[in-house]
Amino acid sequence: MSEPLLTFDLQLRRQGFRLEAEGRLEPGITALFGPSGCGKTTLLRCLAGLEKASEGVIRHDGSTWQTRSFRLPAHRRPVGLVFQDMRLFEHMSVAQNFEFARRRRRAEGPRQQEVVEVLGVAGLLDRMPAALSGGEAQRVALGRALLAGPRVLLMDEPLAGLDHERRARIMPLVRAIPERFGVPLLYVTHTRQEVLTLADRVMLMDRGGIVADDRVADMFSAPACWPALGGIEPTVVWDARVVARDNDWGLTALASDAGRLRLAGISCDAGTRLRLLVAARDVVLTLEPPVASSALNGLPVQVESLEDRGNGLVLVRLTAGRRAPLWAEVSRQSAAALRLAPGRRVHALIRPQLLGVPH
Amino acid sequence: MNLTPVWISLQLASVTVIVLLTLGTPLAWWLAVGRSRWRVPVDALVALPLVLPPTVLGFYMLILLGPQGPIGGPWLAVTGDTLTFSFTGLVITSVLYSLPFVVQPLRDAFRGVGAGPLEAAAMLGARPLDAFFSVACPLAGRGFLTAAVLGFAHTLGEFGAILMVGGSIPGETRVVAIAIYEHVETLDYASAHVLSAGLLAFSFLVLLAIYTLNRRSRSGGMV
Repeated sequence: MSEPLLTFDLQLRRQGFRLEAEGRLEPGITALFGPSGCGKTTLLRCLAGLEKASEGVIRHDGSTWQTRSFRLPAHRRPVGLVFQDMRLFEHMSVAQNFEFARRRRRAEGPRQQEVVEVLGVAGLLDRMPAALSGGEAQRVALGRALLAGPRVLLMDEPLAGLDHERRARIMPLVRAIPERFGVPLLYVTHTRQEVLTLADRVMLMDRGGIVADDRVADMFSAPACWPALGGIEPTVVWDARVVARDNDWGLTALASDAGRLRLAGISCDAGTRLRLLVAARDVVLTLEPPVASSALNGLPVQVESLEDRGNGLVLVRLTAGRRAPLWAEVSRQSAAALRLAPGRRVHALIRPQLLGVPH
Repeated sequence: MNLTPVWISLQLASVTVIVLLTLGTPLAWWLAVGRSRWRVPVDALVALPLVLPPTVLGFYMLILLGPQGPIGGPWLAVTGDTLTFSFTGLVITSVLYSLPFVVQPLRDAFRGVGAGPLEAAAMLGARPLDAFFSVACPLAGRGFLTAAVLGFAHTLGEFGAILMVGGSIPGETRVVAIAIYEHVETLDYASAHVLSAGLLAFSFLVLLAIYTLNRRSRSGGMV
């Protein structure tokens, strides 16, 4: 894949807390996910240069931000930070907030007109920050950070204070940033839904350290990560791409590692990337390919392993198509009737859920 | 009636406020955000003129600024003038006497601004000094207004320390407060009334203005 843009190996000791985080930021959106108090915000502040007591090394794209003996001050790092509390300058209008960032940019940045258009803030330019709603202020804060021309953008729970509707409006804007403005994004959140809908990769953080770093689809499909992701049910996440529309039936055909899938009720152009979630409960196994069934998607699968979960249930690990993982939860009786064993080929009827924002 | 004391008082208060805003702003900033262990003692030192009898301050200033004093001596050698019984001596005394009235509102205003907006400015590429002038100072604007008005009004009302350092030289060091005292001494109650009522009305209007401003916005400190 692509080169990492930012690598870090940081330590910070504070009363009752210790940060020891090593990791790398890849292009696209990386979610920094973990429970409250695990050090997500502190790590962001260390990367930004706001934690003067932090030690360690940060390198970015051939230049060094921090070593044991050197520290680039915050205002000279080509990094943007959207604070959770936004921190717009209250004594300046929205336009003046933008102007402040634009005049101090350290490298080339986007044109103001483009940022204003993408974020839909043209009508807010003359307003003072105190007269903005939470969602509006969040978009302005994001625009201001972009106008400073950052090479890395850090966002600290930008949607935490917003209601469901406003979140849904801002998420596609955030999602578009890396491609539109060429900036990798490190996005702090403790909401699983935001990770699933927004991120390409996820860094799992716990007690001041980074315990895992992987693609979202791989992380959510790995049983070892389920407890850290908040004790989720056995699940797989597949990234898929729209290949065709079947207008007669209102169906959309998708290509994924698991094979060809069909979904009803969405309208996306060919080439659009989507993310699907399949819970083990939503998988039905049969011996023969279904002749007719209300489940749209049937896939040939191979049994990898079985795990007795107690209470009469068996968790079956399967592979579909080109080594895409899949989990099925079946009763012990069904497992016996289907004579499930490693290597056995069966058919899976699945009900994928479409996750939030199209990729 | 001679209005020269009014003029001298206004001059003294203006110069004092200008000096105090210049010196007091960095001091207040340091007191608000500094992490030195000297911060607390200095904070107490700044507040000292609030509780000290003006005569105590006046007495020590007389010694410091006198022709044999550690400040007055070199001053005499360089400029040929004495600091005591001069307008310059009054300014130095007033600066110390009104110090807390300017520094404390500024300190509280800077504290109210907090580190947040400055961190935000740094993330947008603003150097620390740039962030201080373009973000911290404007956000502390009401604190500056309070500081200037309080410093001005408090200097106008000064009596004891000024009398000891400056005496009552007409046209040079005789300010309103001292002129009132002398009018009363000479039983010229009519003139004392005019000056006293003027000072009373002015002080009330100043405080009314500050309280009105502070009611309209919650930021900006009051002593």
